[in-house]
Amino acid sequence: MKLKFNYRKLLSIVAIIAIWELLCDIGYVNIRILPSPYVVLITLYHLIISGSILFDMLTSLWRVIVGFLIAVFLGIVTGYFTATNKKASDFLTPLIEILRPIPPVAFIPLSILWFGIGNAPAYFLVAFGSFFPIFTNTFYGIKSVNKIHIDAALCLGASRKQLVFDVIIPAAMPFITVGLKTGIGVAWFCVIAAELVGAQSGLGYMIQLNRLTLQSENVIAGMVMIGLIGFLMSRMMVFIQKKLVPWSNKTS
Amino acid sequence: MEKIELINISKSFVQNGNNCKNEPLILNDISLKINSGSFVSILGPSGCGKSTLLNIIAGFISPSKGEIKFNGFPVTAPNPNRVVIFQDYGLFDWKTVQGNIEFGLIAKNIPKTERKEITQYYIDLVHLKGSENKYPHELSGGMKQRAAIARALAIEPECLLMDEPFGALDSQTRNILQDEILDIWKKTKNTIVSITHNVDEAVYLSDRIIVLSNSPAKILIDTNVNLPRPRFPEIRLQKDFIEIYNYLWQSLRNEVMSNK
Repeated sequence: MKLKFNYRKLLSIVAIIAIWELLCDIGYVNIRILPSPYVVLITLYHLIISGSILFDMLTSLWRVIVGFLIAVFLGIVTGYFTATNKKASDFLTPLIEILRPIPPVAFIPLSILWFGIGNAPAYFLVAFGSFFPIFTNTFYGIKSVNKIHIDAALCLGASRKQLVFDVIIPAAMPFITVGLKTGIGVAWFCVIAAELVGAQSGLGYMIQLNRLTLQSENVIAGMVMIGLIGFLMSRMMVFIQKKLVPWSNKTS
Repeated sequence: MEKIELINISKSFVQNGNNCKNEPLILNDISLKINSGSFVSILGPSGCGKSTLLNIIAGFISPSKGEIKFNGFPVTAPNPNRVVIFQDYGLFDWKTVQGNIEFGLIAKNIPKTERKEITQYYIDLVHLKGSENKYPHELSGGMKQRAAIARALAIEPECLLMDEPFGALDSQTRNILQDEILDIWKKTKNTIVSITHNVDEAVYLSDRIIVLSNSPAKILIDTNVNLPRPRFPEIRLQKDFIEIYNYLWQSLRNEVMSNK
């Protein structure tokens, strides 16, 4: 099978970059605040070659991974218990519901007070932000497990462990992976927001610092990197989803 | 020897909740003994509570009144000596055919190599060779039910409980699977209780047929089917078959009509 690429999909992006370049070239905009795409590209190249942006990238990625894994664990565990146990649900659901409407960025001031500057506030914000989509989707996934599967497992003599890990969790997996996909997007958003004020490294810190020194080409190069990694992470989640839910890859 | 014994079983709709006095009765005082190794069909009009009765035998729900015994011991929960075949198959969508069949064997702590052998044997028995690694969504309805039958048989249950097992299949596949289940039963000698609303299927398969009334269901007819075995499709044209078919259909028809 030959992979055919639809070039029309590139049209809007090429157009906006061309207009941007044109505006800079004819001197219509102040290139101190909006450098041309060409300058941004060169800057990005140098930042990659020197390795400095890669260091910031790895720092941000590490924070996302740690915070996200905490959220995966807590989200799935609390989702499971609130969905299966009335007492746990009565106990936890009100707490979760009053915390949910608070945007994670609103926790930035407190998290700096609590955890200082560095990795810890980022871990906290990432975990807090990505917890909700993972929790909610796990909850609904487990609530929607078909009773016939539970009955089938029980009459086949399933142990408690088999029932949870071989029936209930996999049955809920299509929902859980949706939560993971939404969660990783929120996590990336949160880590950048946390680094803007609560860190001294990472891509968020890097663009903030370069704003202060008026190096807007570095700011935009950093933003390009942030967008690129966000895009790659969501592609990776699609890949992971296919691995975790192989039975829903309907061929044909 | 009795395998299953139902003693004055009644079931009302609301399960041990809301002390409402007028809970609608579904099953009304059903007593029944089912012999080991027999093939018993339970016939009844739609919605009469046949499936409720099967769920009670399986141990999924408990009766409101009365007692149920299996091998002389009270039934309190599902148990792998009584496996259910569901109308909608109940296959685990996230497992391949192989994985589905192995599920019950893992529960029995059977070592891996032995598990593979057993699985292969039952895959061959239900004619699913070549589909071991397929997921349920890749199978036709008939193949799904074959996989579910293999999964149930693999743990060697004493009793198979079939809830409208061929109800979701087209009539050709249905006829083929009826013959296959008879072939399999001849080898395994399980006790089979089958719920159906299909008179032809009940007569073709069973040693004995129980007809239930409209809800609240009680036993209307309890009759033996004295047709020779092995049975083959042409038996449907014989006088004995037609006679018992008509007898059952007349009484079932009256029930269905009186419900209107």
